[in-house]
Amino acid sequence: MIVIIDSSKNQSIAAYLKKLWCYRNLILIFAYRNIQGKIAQTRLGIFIILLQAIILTLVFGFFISRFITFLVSYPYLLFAVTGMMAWYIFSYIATFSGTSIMQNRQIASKIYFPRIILPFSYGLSVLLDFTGWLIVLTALLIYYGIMPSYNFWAFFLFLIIDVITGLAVGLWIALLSIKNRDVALFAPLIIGIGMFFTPVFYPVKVLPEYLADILYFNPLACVVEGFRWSLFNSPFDIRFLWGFLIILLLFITSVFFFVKKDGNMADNI
Amino acid sequence: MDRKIVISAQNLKKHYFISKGLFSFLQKREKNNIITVLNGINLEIDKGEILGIIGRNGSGKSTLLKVLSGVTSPSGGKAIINGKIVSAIEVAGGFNPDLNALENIRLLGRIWGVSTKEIHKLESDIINFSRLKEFIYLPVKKFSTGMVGRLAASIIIYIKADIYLFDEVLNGSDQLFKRQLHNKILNLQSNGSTILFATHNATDVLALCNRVILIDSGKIIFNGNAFKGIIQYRKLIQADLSKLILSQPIVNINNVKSNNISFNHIKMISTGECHQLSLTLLAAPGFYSQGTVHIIINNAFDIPVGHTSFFMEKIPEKCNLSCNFPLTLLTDGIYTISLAASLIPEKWMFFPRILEFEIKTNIKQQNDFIPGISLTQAKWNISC
Repeated sequence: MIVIIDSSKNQSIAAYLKKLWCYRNLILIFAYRNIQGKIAQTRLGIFIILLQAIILTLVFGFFISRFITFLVSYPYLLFAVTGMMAWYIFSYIATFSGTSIMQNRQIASKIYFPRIILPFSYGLSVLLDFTGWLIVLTALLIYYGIMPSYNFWAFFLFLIIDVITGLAVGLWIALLSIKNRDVALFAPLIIGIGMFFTPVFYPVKVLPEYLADILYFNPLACVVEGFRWSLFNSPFDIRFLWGFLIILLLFITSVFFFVKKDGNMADNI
Repeated sequence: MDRKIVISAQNLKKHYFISKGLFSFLQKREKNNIITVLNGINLEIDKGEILGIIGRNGSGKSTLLKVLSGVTSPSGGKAIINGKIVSAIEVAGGFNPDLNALENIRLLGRIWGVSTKEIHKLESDIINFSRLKEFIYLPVKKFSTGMVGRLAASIIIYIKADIYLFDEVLNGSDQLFKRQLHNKILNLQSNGSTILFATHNATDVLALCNRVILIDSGKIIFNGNAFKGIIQYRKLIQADLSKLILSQPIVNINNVKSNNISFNHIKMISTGECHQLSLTLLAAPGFYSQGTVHIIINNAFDIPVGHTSFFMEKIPEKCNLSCNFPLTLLTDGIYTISLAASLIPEKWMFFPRILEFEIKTNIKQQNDFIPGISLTQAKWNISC
């Protein structure tokens, strides 16, 4: 095995992606470590992650939905849970992958591996949290006696879009906060505000026309509406795919810049 | 036997840019905000070598290892590495403080590309070698520095690789583990692995390395025999070290009463083969009945290499002592003298490094600069 160490200017994206393929096992290992690190020193262990979804649903179902409800063609709790689920997955990935380089600087500044693996690993470890939501969702579907629609297959397609959205935002946060931490500190705030611009708790139709038009460019709106369309066959406006295009662009550019920055990353974290 | 080069570096360079303030990105990359850490390193390392890398703090040792292991890219130049590389840089690197030792072994092993099956085989070896059997279920954050270092070094050393990079792994380790690791490293070498060992501990270099490179401000200023390298290193820091010799003012404590005893007017005169050390002893009256004065000679690495003692049946209030001693046994180099006194009623006094002197002989065989006592009386035989 011959390795040539060269200055970062001369490294190509293709070579990096090739290396990433060689190290692909590491994504799994880091994802496992993320989960292990999260449940370290807890008594409930893995159940604590599942409990989060259950508690959030119960609190929403018993308290909040008594005061705020919107009329939809299926139970409002299901509407809100699918929204929260999409939002949770996105914000989990965006927040954690955004700070992943910083959190793992101990390892990233001492051992060589393609560092893009660190943010990517959160896209995989989110699947455990997703399982928690899936259990809640299944339980609610059974409780209300609703069969998922024929579009069910698309559910996982939108899940992938959800993950990519989280990763794109997370990678950009990570990129912008390698040297200066300002962005990393503001990111949770901005992500939090973003929830109000996404139809998590309210249906799009309650918005005035001009506001709804803006929503088409929100990739999360695409995911949320996509989830509902695939499960309950609620109407899905094809214009929501604009958001998907935007996030695809963001994702590709973030990977590109991340690769370019990787060589000297260890100096700044 | 043909030579196989495993690492070859050509003109490796590394700069860091310092940025300050809100609009730092507008700054030009000028000379005053660039730090050059590596300034053109050319290096070739053969298979099966144990190479010591020495130098002062911040001279670029760690950065060189980081560049060679691929953790950070060089700013210029190129290096070709032929073989699998594993590295223990800045010791605790890579541990997750929340996970316990066993989980960390598995994790680090996987990161270094060892399969799960192999790790299971290695686990018990690593635990035995690090002597941490009682602590394997303890989170690593509760470990002491020495224990973390031990665990890190043990993991690295059991991973199969062609090139091992060690950076200050033995900081904070005890003597026993040092010896263990030395033996293991020599073992790896005999199996054909190459080892790079960065340290500023002279004893580690002398115990292990067959070649040494001395790095100062990003450049290799010496490359060769370990003994010579250590002497060169010592010479490099000599000017600063000499300033730190505890000279007379500290020993010359005027307040004899609180200290009960003190040495004054310490002087050393060299007369050819003999050295004479003279000093004045001041003692508070009626405190000590008798005592012994020791002169201890330390070599450049602060290791005692010789001593002479003088027993006094009665300690007067003030007396002048002088001692003549031959130094023909010592080889070329810089030595320091420490003074000590053991007194009755029981008290041990010690004044470390109060004088420094250099020995220069004209004996020819000594151009290898091997430190220590030269056994001039030894007899050699040759039979073919």
